[in-house]
Formats: sequence, C-alpha cells, structure tokens
Amino acid sequence: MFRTIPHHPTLLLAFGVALLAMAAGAAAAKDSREDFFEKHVRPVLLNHCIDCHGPDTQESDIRLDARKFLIQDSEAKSLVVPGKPEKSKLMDVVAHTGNITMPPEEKLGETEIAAISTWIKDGAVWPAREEVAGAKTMGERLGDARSDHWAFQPVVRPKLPKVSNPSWIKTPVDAFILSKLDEQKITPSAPADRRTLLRRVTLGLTGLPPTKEQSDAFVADASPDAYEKVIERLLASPHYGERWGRYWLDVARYADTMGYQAGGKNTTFPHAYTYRDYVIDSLNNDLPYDQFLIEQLAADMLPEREDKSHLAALGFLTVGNRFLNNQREIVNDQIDLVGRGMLGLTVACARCHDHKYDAIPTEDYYSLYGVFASVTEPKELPVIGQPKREEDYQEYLKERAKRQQVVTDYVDKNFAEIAEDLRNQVGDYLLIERTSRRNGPYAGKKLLLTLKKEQVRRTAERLWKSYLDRREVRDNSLFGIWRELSAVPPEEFEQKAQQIIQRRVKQKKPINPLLREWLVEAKPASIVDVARIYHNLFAMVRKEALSQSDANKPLANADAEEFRRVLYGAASLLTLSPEDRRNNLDRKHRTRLLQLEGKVKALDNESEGAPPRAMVVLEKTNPVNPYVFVRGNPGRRGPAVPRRFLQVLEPSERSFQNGSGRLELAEAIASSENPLTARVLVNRIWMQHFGKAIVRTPDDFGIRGDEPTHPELLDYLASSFMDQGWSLKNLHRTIVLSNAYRQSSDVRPDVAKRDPQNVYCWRMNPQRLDFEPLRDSMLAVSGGLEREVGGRSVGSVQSPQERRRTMYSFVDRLFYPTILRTFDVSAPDQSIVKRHQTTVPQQALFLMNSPFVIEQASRMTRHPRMRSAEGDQAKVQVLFGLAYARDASPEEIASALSYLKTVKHGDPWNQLAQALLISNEFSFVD
Amino acid sequence: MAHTTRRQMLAQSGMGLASLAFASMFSEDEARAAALSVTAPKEPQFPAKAKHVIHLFMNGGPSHLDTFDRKVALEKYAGKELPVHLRTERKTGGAFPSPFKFTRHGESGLEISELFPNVAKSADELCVIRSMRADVPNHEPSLMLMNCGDARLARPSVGSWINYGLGTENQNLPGFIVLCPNGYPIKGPSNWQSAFLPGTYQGTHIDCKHSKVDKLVENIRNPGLGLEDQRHQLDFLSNLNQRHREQRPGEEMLDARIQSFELAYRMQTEASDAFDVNLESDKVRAMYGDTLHGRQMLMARRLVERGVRYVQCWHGAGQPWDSHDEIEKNHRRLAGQCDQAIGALLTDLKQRGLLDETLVVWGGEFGRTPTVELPMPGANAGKINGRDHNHHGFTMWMAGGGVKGGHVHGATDEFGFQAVEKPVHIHDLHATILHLLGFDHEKLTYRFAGRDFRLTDVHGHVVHDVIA
Repeated sequence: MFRTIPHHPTLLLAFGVALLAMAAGAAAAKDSREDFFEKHVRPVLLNHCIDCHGPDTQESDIRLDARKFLIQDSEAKSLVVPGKPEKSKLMDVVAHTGNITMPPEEKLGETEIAAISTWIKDGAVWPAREEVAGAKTMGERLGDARSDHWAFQPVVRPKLPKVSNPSWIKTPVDAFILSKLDEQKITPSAPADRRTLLRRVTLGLTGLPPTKEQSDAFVADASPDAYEKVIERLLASPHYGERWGRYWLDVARYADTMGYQAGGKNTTFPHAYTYRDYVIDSLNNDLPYDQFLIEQLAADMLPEREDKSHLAALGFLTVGNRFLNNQREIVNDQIDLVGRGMLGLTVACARCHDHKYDAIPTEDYYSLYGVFASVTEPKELPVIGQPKREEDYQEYLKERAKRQQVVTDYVDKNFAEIAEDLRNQVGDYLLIERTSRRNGPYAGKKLLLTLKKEQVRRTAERLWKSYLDRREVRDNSLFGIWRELSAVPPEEFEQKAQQIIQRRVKQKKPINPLLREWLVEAKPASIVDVARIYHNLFAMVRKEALSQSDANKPLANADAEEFRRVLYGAASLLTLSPEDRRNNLDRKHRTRLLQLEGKVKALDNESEGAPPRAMVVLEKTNPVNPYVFVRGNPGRRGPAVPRRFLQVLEPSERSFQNGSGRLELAEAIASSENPLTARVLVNRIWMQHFGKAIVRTPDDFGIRGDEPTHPELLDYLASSFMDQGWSLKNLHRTIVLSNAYRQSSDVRPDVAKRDPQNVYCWRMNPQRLDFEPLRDSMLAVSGGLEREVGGRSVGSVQSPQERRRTMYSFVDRLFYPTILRTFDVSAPDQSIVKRHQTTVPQQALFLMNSPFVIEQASRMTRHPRMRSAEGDQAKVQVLFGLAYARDASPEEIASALSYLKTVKHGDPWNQLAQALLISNEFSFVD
Repeated sequence: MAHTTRRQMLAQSGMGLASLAFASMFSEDEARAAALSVTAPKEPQFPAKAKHVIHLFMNGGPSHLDTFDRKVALEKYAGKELPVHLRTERKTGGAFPSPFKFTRHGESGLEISELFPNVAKSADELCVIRSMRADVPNHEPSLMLMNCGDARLARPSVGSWINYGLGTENQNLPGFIVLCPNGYPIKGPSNWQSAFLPGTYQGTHIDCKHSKVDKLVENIRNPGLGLEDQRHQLDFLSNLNQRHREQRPGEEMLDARIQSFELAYRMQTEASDAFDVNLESDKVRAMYGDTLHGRQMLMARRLVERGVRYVQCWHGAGQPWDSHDEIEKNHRRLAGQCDQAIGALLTDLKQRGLLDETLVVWGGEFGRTPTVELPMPGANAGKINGRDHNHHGFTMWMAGGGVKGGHVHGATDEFGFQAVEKPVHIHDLHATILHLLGFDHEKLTYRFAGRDFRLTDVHGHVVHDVIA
C-alpha cells in the first residue's frame, strides 16, 4: 500500500529523530533542513546517482554532487527549482513522470522520492560548508580537512581581546567570555554568594559537598585569597582524583568483568582495580596529561623503572569487553577508545568504508588495527606492588597453594581415568587415528574394534594423533609398519600386506620382533585385523607390566619393553604437561574444573594478601602487518597498509618504525603539535564545570560535530594547558578562579529572552548531581562515608552497608546494575564522553524506598550532633546544617516541626532527614 | 509541562527568527528542560494499528518441526540420511520424524501439532512465518541478534528502540517490562539493554514467580513506611522543593524532578495493581490457569492494557526449550506449561478488543534440526532422541497488531532444514515489527559516536506479505 508522506518539512523531521519532536518549534531552521538533507537526500544521491553523475563521470553532462550543478539561473535549465518540486526536472526523472527515468536499474523507493520532493519544496538546502563527501577523492578530502576544518588547524594562543570592563577579568578565561558578551551587549551576572560558590566548587572538584563548618568558615574568611585557599585545599584532597577519575573511567569503559564468556568461565578481571587506582593516583599527583596518555597506551614500551606501578596504566587497553575473545571486536573497541576518547574523532566509522564525512580513509583504520593487533597479554600479570601486610601475603600464598592443589588433584584424578581408557583401547584409537584424518584410504570410514561410537573420547583421539605424529615415533619399530600398512587401500590389503612386512624386514627398517612375529603369523586380511593385533599385544604387555610392583618399571624382555614405554613412563603418549592434562579433560569435567579454578582466581581477587598486578599488554614478537578488510569483512583482503598515524593529522604519512608503533602512536596523540588532543581535553573539563561544553559534541570534533561556541577561548585553554606542562590542576585553577565560573546562576529574564540557552555564558548553569556525587554526598553528610582511597572493588551501590564511594563498587559489565542505568550512569559497553541526563520516576523510587537511602537518613539522625542538640528546633537545625551546610530559616523550622507531628508510624526524624536528602536542594548545584 | 512553557515563551517573545542561531542546541536543551518527556507518548512516523508488543520468547529454541512446520518427508526418511545436510552446532545423524500429531485448525486450516491445542483455537489469528533465518547455531549470538539486532556488539534492544520511538502511554509504569520467571535467561540483562540509548529505555526485569509486588519491582515499596506516612513525607518534600523553586524563577529544569516524585508515588499503587492478578475474576484466572505461565501471561495482558509499550515474556531462566535430548518428553512438558496461558492470552486480548493494537510475537532464537542429534560424551547423556540448534530455517508466529490471521508466510525445504521460500531474516522481522508500529526502520535512528544507528543496522526489509 502506498503511504503518503506528509510534505510538511517539520512533520517529516520530527519523524526522523523522536527527540527532535520536542524541537518542533525550531524544526524549520536551516540547520534542521541541512540535517534532513544529510539524512534523507544525500545518501540517495550518493548511493544511486553519483557513480554516473559525479566528479569522475558526467553522463549527459549532468552532475549531482554540488548544488551549483543542480540549480541554474533560469528555471528552464535547472534540474531543481527550489521550492517547486513540480517544476523540477529531477523530480520527473526520479518519479518516472517524464520521458527520462532514473536510476536506470530500478526506480527509487517511495520514501526516497518523497524525501527529494520535500527537500526541493523546502528550498533545496545544501550545506554550504562542504560538497558531497563521496564526490571528492580522499586526497582532496584530506587536503581540505587539513586546510579548512577548524579542529585540524594548529592550536595557536590567541591574543586576549579588548573588553568593556577589564576589572572583571580574573583569569584570561574572562576576557574571552566578556568579549563575546560585549558583542551581544549582555553583562555578566553578579558573583554567586559565598555559600553557593563553595558548594559549587567543592562538589565540582571533589564530588563531595562542603560541611557547614567549612561553609561558615569561608563566609567568615575576609582575607583576599580566601577563595584561592579553598581551591588549593580541594585540589590537594585525594577526593579530587576520585571525582575526576570517574569521568575518565567513563571514557575508558572501565569494568571489573570481561562480559559474556561461554561455559561458566570466571569473567572477573581481578586486577582491573589497579587501573582504576592508577587513574586516581595520576590525577592526584597531577601527572602531566600527555604522560598520562602515553602510559595508558604504551607504558610497557617506556624505559624500565624501579617502580612498576605505571604499568597499571595499560588497563586502559585491557579492561574492555572481550567480545567472546573475538580479536577484531577487541581491536575495534580500542580504536574507538583512542579515536573518540582521546582525539574526539569517530575513527571506528572507517571500519567498513572511508569515513562518510571526515577525512579518515579506511586504510587509516587498518593502520591502527595493525598497531593494536600486535599486542599480546602475558599469562601471568606482573606484580606492581606489595600487599599491605606481610602476614596477609603469607596467608594468601598458603591458601593459594592449597586451592591450586585441589585443582591439580582434580585434573590428575580425572586424567588418570582417561589414561586408563587409552591404554585399554589401543586398537580402537589406532583405527580412529586413521579414519579421522582428512586423507588416506581410510579417511572418513567407520572402523572400530570394541568401542561404540559414542564411547570414543575426543581427548584420546587427539592424544594418539599427536603421539603418532612425533618425529621419533612416526617410523619407529612399533608404528612404522602401521603407517605403511594403513596407507594400503582396503581392496589391495590382503594381497600387499605380507609383501610390505617382508620388505620392511629386508630393508632393515626397524620393526619390533614381537610385532613382526604376530603379523606374519596371523596373516591379517584387513587393517582392522592389524589393529586387533596391536590391541592384543598391548593388552598382553600391559598385563605383564601391571603384574610388577610398579608398571613404570622396565620389563625384562626388551621387545615387550618397547610396547610398555608407549603406555608408561616419561616418553609415553600420556606424559603431558599439567596444562595439557588440564586441557585434555573430558567435557563433562569442565564445569567442575572451572569452578575449582575459579576459586583460585577468586582468591587473587578477594584476598587481602594478594599482590596488586597490572593488566598489561606486551608487544608480539612479530608485529602484525595489516591489510584492509574490504567492507570490514576479514575474509576479503584489500591492500596492505603500513602501521602509521591518521593521515589527516600526519601529512608526512610516515610509517611507524619501532615494533608495532604503539609508542609512536601514543606520542603522536600526546604531542603538542596534535591539534585535537588538548582541545578535546580542555573542552571536557569545561563541560563538567559549566554543564555545557564549548564544543557540544565532545567526542566528535569532525565535520559533523558542532563548532565551538568560543573558539578563541578553546584555543587559549588548550595552548596554556600545553604550555603549563599539560597540568590538569592548573587547568582547573584557570577555570574555577575565573569570574565566569563564579557567576550567580540566577535567571535574568531579560537576558534569558535573548539567549535562553546561555550560549554566551552570562550566568552559571545550574547542574543536577550525577549518581556518584549524589550517593557519595548522602554518605558524606550522614557521616557514614569511608574515605579510604583505592583498593579492591566493593559491593553493590544499593547495599545499605556499603560505605565506600560509588566509584569503588564492583562494575559487572554483563549484569550491570539497573539502578546505575536508571540514573544515567553510562554502561561500560563503549567509551562514553557525555552522559545522558534524564529524569524518570524510577530514580525517585530509589530515593524514596531504597534501604540505602533510608539507612543514610537514619544515620544522619544518629549523628553525634543530633544527640547533643536540645529540643526539636535545635535538632531540625542540625539536620539542615548536615544536609545543606546552612541554617534553616524560621519558616523551614516551622514547616519541619509541623511535618514531624503528622508522622503516624516509624521514626519521624528519619523521615524528615530522608526528605532533606532527596530534595532538589540536595540534588542540584546552583 | 515545562517544555510547553518554554515554547510559549519563545512564541511570546517573537523569537521565531532570533532563535535560529541556537537551533542546533535546541533539542538537547529542550530535552533537558522537559526531561520527563523522554518517556512521554509520541506519535509514530505514520499511522499504524499496533501500539504494544508482547514478545513470547521461547528461549532455548523450540522445534518448528514439532510445532508449526509439519514435514511428512521426514517419516519417509526416518533414521536415514537426508539429501540435505547443513552444519549446525553439533553432529546430527539421520532424519527424525516428529513424534507429535498434527491437525488442521480453524477456517484457515493451519496445521499445528498436538503440543499447542489451546493456541490452535486461535489459528485464524496466527500469521505463521515458516521461513525465519538467523546467522549462527549458537544461543548467545542468536539471542543478541533476536533482541538487539546485532550478535556481538552492545546495541539497544527492540523494546528500547520502540520506547525511544513511541514513549509510553502510562507514566506510572515502566514502558518496557521483561517477565522472566525464576531468574535470568542466558546473557541476562544484555537481552533488554538500552546500550547507548538513555537508561530509561532499558527493560525492567521482573521475576514473575513472585506474587508480592515488592519482590517484583525494585524499590517499589518503602520497607518501613505506609502509603499514608509517605504521602505526608512527600508533601513535606514538595514544600521544600517549592520553596527552593520559588527562589529560582525561570529554572524549569527543577520542575521535572519535582514531578517525578509524584509519578513515582502513583507508580507504587499502579504497579501493585498491574501485577496483582488476583484482581481478575475467577473465570479469567481459570482461563489462563493458576500456573506460573498463566500468571505471567495474565500480567502481560494487564500491562499492555495499562499502556505498557513492550512486554517480553520469557519461558524461564536459562534456556528451557533447548531439547538436545528427550525432545518428545521435554517439548511436551514445556508446551504443556505455556499452551493454555498463551491460548488464553490470545482469546482474552481478542475479547477485550486489544488484539488489534497488540502485536503478539512467538518464537525462540532459532529452531531445531530435522535430523537427530548424535550422542556426545558429557553433552546429551548418550541419548539419541533430541534435535540440535537450527538457524537455517525455523518458525515464528505473530498475531494481532495488523498482521494477517490464519496466514502462512514462506517455507522451509522438504525436510525443514532451511528456509527456501520467501526467507525472512531476523533483521526483516525487526523491520516488519517497526513498520507495524508505524516506523520506517531506516528512519528510526539515534546518533551516537558519529553514526546514526538503527535497529536493523544496514539490513532489513519489511515483509509486506504478512501485513493485513
């Protein structure tokens, strides 16, 4: 059935993205029409027209890759008449209403045709900033991007602009903000009051609220550097590293588990926490950001140091999802991580084809692929520190040995059972060894002596195979003849077998006399007969060996001894390394085995005495030389590409020289020549402080990303950041000491009318606390917070007993807690730079009903100050002071007291305290 | 609501043109101001019949050959090697005819096996797709493909996409509810993840073996506070919040959070009602059966009736339908557990006039082989009476929501090994489901990491033949 597509552009647009429906009022805007073109028209042109009517070929002199080719001054010559689809030739052609019909092979879909019509009707808007991406060669696109796109231009420190009111300038930030405001004839807002400012900056820098005492002290501090002192105190707090580390962990898609794995395998990363702690410590120590990046990509390739703790940085690469150990996905995740996370570029979009918009050829993707595919992980992770207490360590070693022994015993016991079977069924396995091969006269045949098909052990089959393939076995006195005989086709067997045996004797090739005798005597008519001979001989020898005190003792008869040695002793087919024994257990033993091994792993994970280890990567001996996978398909090899950096950022197209090139990649990213790295980072720090970024697509600085609202400010921050040794703490100082940051958040209606989105930063944006600072604040004000920094991950954020900061709770990637998603905490599926912000009733349910919140409320009422407060009024004051770090007003006291009287059941004070904890004042920062 | 206010403000201030400069920021900021509206009901792209979906997930993979796709040829070949043999997860042997009797039902004469006598009563409502295809014969990737459209990567589930597109009609209940008795299926919450979509679109898992509401929905009840006392507490909270709000004129983002507490309060009672099947008449309860699955299906009906957009009913924790051996016994038991309830659901929805607007989807992550699974040590106890996984061809059916009733679409080969006639890939199924709900699957997109993602990625064709 034909469905009419409404021709009203705003309607169509609203269909495109449901959220856009909310923006219906603005849908007619040019940006939205460009968006419509990008989504619905450009792909049609690219997919159906450009091949014949593009830059390379212009059949019938028609070109459809730029607006100027479609629209001429005279309507008669134009293919498209903006606003008039009925007069546009292009419509006739695609809608098949005229003589010429296109595309030649198949008519476009109804929705595609309707989209073109809507686009024309709506003015045929074509984004001016670029032509059809696909219409240019990649070389041209690279050149254009390097010369034109703002984000690829070198970072140059801009001059401070002149402003109307120089006295307002506290840090250079203010000059850039004020100059834009001047242009708009908007004045900045008055400073926020001291209590508000202290709450803002304390939560901003540490993720914890100030206490009432701190707040009172700041209000009372008349010294000119009162605010500066506060900033220094906060930046020196270990909670600073926790607060800002959490956002970096979003970028690093940090989790304590590897995601789904088949068959009950323990999926925990017992040492992921060392990466988390590395991030916290690095921030607290103000490790230069360039160094921070380099260590996370290539700490293993840096000069050796006494202290190995920086190796934990490599967790950046390894704490991701393991995608059922699919290496292509793991590497793709790492490319995305480095692309969006560090460079603000959507490099992973170039996996299957050249990037649709940005100048990232698919070759670049595979250049990076080669770098990351060249890493390997060691079996045993390096120890990077000491357990806290020596006794714990000794205890751990003892317990670990004990648990390991249980595993070994289990393996040995069950392997013994398999060994028994192998020794008993020699004939069968000899046959299977032949029939299960791909070549040879018996390949694929069904030959067995005594076993039933379902009794055949895969393990035994494997072991026999690898035994018979040993060089010293292949042509020895026992199995050389077997190999020869089993190469004879069955129909020729009877005729040839004896000759072959005789020939072997004559040629003096080794043949065991016992075996020879039996073979000659029994006159086998088929390979099965031969197998039976072996079977019986082995059985006989075995019986004899077992009749000795120890089957491992040599037999007196040298001929029999040869047989015995196949089954017993150091060179037997059953002599395997402990690991091979483990890997060769029957499938049915796997579950239990994994359980037992899990207990060893659990100890590494949980024991206080287990030493911390770094989740490192190492270089492979031979780095991978990558090929393009055409359309992302590893089965379709395209051209070989060198391992090197992105061409758009490295015009020399120099290949990496040192191993995989991982360190060179890291250095290219962390270079002050790199136009993206510093800009991307300062933009994010600004975003967290102001609630809005300067570039509002913080993980996409490409062509489709937003342009900066304050380009000079962005460049100033980026250049001074690099000039000051990539110090994050200095960057924070520059921002939070500014007058722009200190503005009040009050809405000024007259200004709000002109700049409702506060693009020009004429006030501070109020912000809602993310889940971590919200929960941590509850713990802090109730007095319950355990302030220890770092260490193994702890229990659920919902547990009323769990009193560590939220970032320390165990992050299970597969069973990610619903409550975290409910509060917009990003799941660690991929690198996340900006969280959603939603308000939904399930959040309120948690606040109203969860045992965690109830416990914090109750703890507040048990606060020592509550006990010493006399009278209800004083108690109300205590609770307000704890929750809001301020005094309650007389009206608030009155209202609280009257509320307390309405409570019928339970402890009224708990319920009052809870209301304070879940209120907007607690959740929002002005 | 807040966003109206803002729009009014814009209109009043004659901002039509002046606001253009901010247009690119508009949706984000408006979304924030009107944060609650992420779940507000929205119009689809084009008018559609279906407004809700109930997905009956027979996890583990039910055999199409023993339920809805009769293959007489298997009897002829019983025990013998089939001319077609395709690779599946494990080794299989000769043809294994269905041990179950098939009969024709309804005016349409749809062939259904004796396993589903009650579902068969609604034969004329069923649109049976016998030519389903997936990509691999393993549970985990197939579950991901069926639920999220991608076998490996974290992508939003169907229910999340639909809630993103349509919002929910009842703000007092989550818009996407997952009923799975006794715990989690394989891969747990990944099956109903919202991935890069906002967390509010993820499925809310409910272990429907419980009957008490506080065990069903997390944090739905205050463990110590009755509703009356909580009302007082919320009144006091509202008092605090209003005072706070009055000091911040123009700060509309505060309103959404104030409102969320009122919604949450109502959700407590509404959810209790929605999940309390005892509020149904004896007759209705008897129709569904007083069993785990009877209560599950009845809950599902009560939820869609209340405007919940997407309800997913899993047969149970783990992968119950995975009958590698003893298929006759196991399939009989499993079908026996849910047949009456599913039959009742269809009849009940129809009687209440809800079937037209509710799309019911039945099936597993794949089907099973027409050949018998060969014994393997440690796997199927050495029994030779089950079937292996089969992604080459299997059956799903839909009912209501604008699909043809009593209709068969596509076919597998003579033996039921492979979809050969009008094959329908999972991506096609997804495209069709979205279409039935009023969405062009190529246009329901979300931009993340520089790409406009969609449920069907770069695949999917709407199966117009199944649409009434």
